[in-house]
Amino acid sequence: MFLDLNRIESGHFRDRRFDVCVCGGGVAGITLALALAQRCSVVLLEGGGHEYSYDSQSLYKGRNVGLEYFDLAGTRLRFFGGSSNHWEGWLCPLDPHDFEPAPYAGHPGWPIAAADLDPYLEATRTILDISDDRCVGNDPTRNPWHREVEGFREIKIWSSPLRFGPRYAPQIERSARIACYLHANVIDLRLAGDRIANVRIADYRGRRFDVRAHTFVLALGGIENPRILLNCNRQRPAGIGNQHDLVGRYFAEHPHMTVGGILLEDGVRLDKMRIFSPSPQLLRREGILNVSLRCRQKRGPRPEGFKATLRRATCKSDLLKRSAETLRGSSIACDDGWLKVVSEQSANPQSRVMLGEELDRFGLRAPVLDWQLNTLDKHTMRQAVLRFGEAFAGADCGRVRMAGWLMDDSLSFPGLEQELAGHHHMCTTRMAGSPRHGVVDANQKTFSVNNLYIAGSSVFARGGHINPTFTIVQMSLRLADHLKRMHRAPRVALLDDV
Amino acid sequence: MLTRRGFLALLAWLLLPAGARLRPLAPSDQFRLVNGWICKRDDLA
Repeated sequence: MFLDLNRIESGHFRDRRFDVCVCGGGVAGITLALALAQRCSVVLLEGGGHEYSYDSQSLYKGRNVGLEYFDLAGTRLRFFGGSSNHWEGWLCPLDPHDFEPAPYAGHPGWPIAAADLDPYLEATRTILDISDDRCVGNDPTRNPWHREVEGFREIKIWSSPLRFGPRYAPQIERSARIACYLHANVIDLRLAGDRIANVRIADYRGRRFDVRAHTFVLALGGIENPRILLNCNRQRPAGIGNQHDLVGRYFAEHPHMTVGGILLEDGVRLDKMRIFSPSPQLLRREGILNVSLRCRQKRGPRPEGFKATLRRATCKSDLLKRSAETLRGSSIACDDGWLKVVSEQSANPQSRVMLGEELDRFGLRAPVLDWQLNTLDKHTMRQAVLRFGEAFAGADCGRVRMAGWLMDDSLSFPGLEQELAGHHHMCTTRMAGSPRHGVVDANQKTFSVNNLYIAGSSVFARGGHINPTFTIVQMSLRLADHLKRMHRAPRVALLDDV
Repeated sequence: MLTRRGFLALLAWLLLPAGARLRPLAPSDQFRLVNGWICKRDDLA
């Protein structure tokens, strides 16, 4: 059922204790709550309402101090359903080799294997409304050239922009085991020894409430999860879970950058975007992170006859091209199409979410994002494009042109004039085998607090190149199974009297 | 004049281990880079 915190009485939570308290009503929180409700009583806390509101969204304001990045109040959404309310729904599981260690990445990878998430593949497809069971494949009939591009396989990514809010609100409304409070803003986690005793929430009228549960899960997103942990510094001065100064570090995105153009051989067409990913062998040989290359022919008819001959002649040298452009008064497109890269980002502790001095309406410090890309990130993009260009030419598909910024040996990257990144906020409370390398363990439990778990892409140890939501759902189901084993029967009366 | 920030950036660059610097672009034997184009050697014959 849904309840509006703005409308409940002050003593509402005094005699209530839930099995699990899930903070955040986005993809991770909704998946987790529905799965847990098979066995547990769940309180789901959502800071917004069913629709967008300025009051809620403005709580996402923050500052960027690193590389150019999106406005922090625009790169995510703060109402029921979270950022699934504006996503495009490109979905795929991570590659199995994303879970394997890459020594050149300079950091231990995942403490779990892809096989640990495999049992949740089918349920994840169901939750995301995906009927097609092909995701990764190398079907030659789908290959536009019917030719192998050596070292690369073509992949398909499902498009299912499911809005979790409208899709799953009726199920939550009907559930006798889920109490979802809207306009419930998490403002503090209160410790009693090494456990969370209660989470303090506030409504938009400024009233405070304490919610008690046996187990707590933060599912607030890749920027808000570290932000709330760092803000909770009343009992632990460095913030909760931050004994090794790792909360907020390793912020990772999926850089989406145009890396050049393509010229197609006669007879080769690329009417739809094609996505290619290097083999694990090629990744290891080149010492690069996971990456995909996306190419597509420009729209409109390809010049033929005299125009094509003239264009080819003009494009033969920079001098000729510049002269022709001066005479024509506009630029001449020498490429038939574009080439983009979507790349994994390296584990970089300097890339991080911190706290600023600005306070929000509840007195919490606003986030400051210092997004950084490093040498390995640029090396990954350069080598992937170089080897793809060679394979592309080797298969007689055409030629690839590398963009100037990619040829440049400095650490330069395009800014917001390009697509830039995927709005994927990952790795800020990483999963690791040891507290020296991460914030949560292989079960997503924080190393230092015994009943505090974290869900969502902030626990990713590596982000791969694939959009994170499929993996977020898989991991939420896995976490739900773990928590259900701890709660063999509901500890409290179900929620009839809420 | 080199600014303090520029000096620190230069110093950081010089102190970087060689492996942390960008490796030069090196096409395979059968290919060459010409004005950014990844060409087959035959293209240039």
